[in-house]
Amino acid sequence: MSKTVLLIDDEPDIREVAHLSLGAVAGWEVLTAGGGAEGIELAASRQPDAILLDVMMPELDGPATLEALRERDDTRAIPVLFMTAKAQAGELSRYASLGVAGVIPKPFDPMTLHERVSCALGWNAF
Amino acid sequence: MAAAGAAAGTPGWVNPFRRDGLLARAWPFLAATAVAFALLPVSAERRIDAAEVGVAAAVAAGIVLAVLTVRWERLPHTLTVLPPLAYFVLVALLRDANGGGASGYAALVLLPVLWVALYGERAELIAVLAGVWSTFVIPILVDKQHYPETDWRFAVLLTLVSGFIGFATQGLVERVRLRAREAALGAERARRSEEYLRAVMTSAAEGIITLTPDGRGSFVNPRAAQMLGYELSELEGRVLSGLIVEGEIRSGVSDPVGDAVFRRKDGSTFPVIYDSTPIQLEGGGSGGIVVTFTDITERRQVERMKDEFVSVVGHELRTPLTSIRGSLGLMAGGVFGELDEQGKRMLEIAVSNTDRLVRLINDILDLERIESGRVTMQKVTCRTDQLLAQAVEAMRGQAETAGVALVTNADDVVLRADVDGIQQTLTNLISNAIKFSPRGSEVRVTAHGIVDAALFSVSDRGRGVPADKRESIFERFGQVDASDSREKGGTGLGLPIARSIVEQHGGRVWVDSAPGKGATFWFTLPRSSEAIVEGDGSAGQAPEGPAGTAALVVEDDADLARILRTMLRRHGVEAVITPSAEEAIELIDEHPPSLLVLDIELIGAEGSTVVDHLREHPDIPPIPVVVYTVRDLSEHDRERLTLGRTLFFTKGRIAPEEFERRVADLLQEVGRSRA
Repeated sequence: MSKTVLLIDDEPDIREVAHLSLGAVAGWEVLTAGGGAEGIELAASRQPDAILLDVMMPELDGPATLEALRERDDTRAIPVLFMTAKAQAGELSRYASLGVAGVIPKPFDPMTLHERVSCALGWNAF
Repeated sequence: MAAAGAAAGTPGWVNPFRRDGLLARAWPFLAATAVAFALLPVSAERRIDAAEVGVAAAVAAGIVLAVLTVRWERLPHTLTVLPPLAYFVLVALLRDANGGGASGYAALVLLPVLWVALYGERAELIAVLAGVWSTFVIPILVDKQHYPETDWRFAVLLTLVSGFIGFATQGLVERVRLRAREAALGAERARRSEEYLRAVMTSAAEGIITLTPDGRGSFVNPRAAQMLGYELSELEGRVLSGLIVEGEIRSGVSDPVGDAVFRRKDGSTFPVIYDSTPIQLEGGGSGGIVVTFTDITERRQVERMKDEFVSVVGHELRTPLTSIRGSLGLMAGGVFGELDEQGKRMLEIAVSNTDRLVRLINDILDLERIESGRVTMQKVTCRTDQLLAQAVEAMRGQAETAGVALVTNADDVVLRADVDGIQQTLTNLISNAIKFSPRGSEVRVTAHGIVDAALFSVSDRGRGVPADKRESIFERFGQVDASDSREKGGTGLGLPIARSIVEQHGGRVWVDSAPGKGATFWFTLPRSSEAIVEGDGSAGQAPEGPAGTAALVVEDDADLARILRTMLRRHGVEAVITPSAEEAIELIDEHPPSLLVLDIELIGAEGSTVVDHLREHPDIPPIPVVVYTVRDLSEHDRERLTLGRTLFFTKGRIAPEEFERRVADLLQEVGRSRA
């Protein structure tokens, strides 16, 4: 089942790698945005199946972007996964409590990234 | 006299002619001289030699003049025997002038003896005794007609008696003086020590407050007053509990060390660490408590900055590594076409070393944070068998790759521990065991209850740990062999991290090993009394999350269980997972969950036994149940499984979204009915 995912990350290199990973390896359609504001617009207009959201970004950071997404009717239902390079145990559980579907620590393995995303969202169950 | 002696600063004796006490000390001497002259008319019938009396009077005048005018305190003390010796000359002259009678003059010589005994040294006393002797012997030698031979005996007797009286007096005086001196020294010492203590309290960098048993400030040092923004006098005698915003410091409360927040006079607050110790009075009884405290605002700031720094360093190091690891991974995964063997090998090396670098960064940051003690362990009630099962599950992939079997044997001991931390400890130990295990061997992982702790072990059949390394392997980068980190891909920090976590729990970690035959790593986690009480089955709190929000998922497929947990978590519900119906029943008895998610086809026992158990125990509060199964259930089956609110699903027949929506609805319903 092909999915559309939106990737919001301020690092162009990581966007490119994750784009290839989810696009070329998993065959998903991947949308990318370089910041929170751009991502929210894209999420609203393209209605992806999930959003991969970087936590540390300039201006609108991950939690703020998540909050903005939750406030809009047209983006509220889209599941969000955090991607973070600040993967400390305490921080992970704090992010989880913000109501995200999962947290994917960076660095990730590009060959299995789509599996982690699927697993966190329950896409390959049942 | 004693005080004067101490003030004179001379050991054991005083200068009898000191100016301040001159007249006071010279009077017996002057009086004796006067008596000596007064004795003259007693033997009036004898001849009185006027010339001798005149010389005696001159000597007397000389003595009196010398006593009164010489600055004796500047002369050696020994010279103070001169006046008494001169006095003997006077006595001898007056006696001779008076016709040589002995009795009255004999009494007179005792006066200087006593005087020197009181004020002088032993040598001076001896000199004076020699004077006594001479006073009566010289006349015999000079004038044999006048003084009979029998005077010899008299001289001996008088000298002995004088000596006896003199030495006895001197001994007595010395003892009295010593006592007085000791008392004075003691008083001085006490005064200095009190002064010193006060100075210490006053200049201490920490705030010091003593509280009476009813909580009033009895002593407050200036630093404490300064930190609190009060004048000293404002705090003494005042009830001080109002100064404490967070934390509780009371007399009789045995919380010796802690963090608290204090309030200043202006209403602002500051964090402190404090020590509070009961004041034990001699002879028992409580003197209140003494509280010492330090303002840790700055320390907190530094800690926060360090935390931020660690966090930022972690982020900044991992971000470029994410791109590197991602690019390499995509190439190694063949996304851009196949490479030749050598190219592939090079990429594998690059990938595995990038992974190693990431592990190293994670471990260094973890260790820094755990050892600093700033990451507090989030202790929750958990069970050893579940901890073990989860850790083993996480390591199964690595074990399979290495061709090593993981065997577990666990009692279900209930304890309070940081689940993530213990997972990390167990996976570190299991990962090590796998790395050093020969292909085809077993790694055994066990957990057992001992008296007041849970004892975990991880054993392998690898090369073992030499005796001299059994301590050092728990040090940072303390691997048995320096090449291990390269060959085995470890960071050299796994064991230090494990030790830090275990020690933060109050446990201990160690290794047993027979070189060549393998190693067993052991660690203990204390069972808190709290955990034991909860484990006794009284309907306590749910093992995780706030009361009443935990769901119990009975599922033996670990992947599916994790997905269910993730799904439930999205709806604000933590899930406890168990693979067996038997264990599920135990868990329900211990902590009735808010929701039961039940797979019917479990290995070993039917999931329906859990529902049967609930039916047989009406004392367990009603629990909504979600039942799912791969087969279609008959009406009869459904009836048997229905108990209160029950949802049925058949695997593969329902879209995950739909499943989630209906479970969410059920959760909301449960939440409402609870509210």
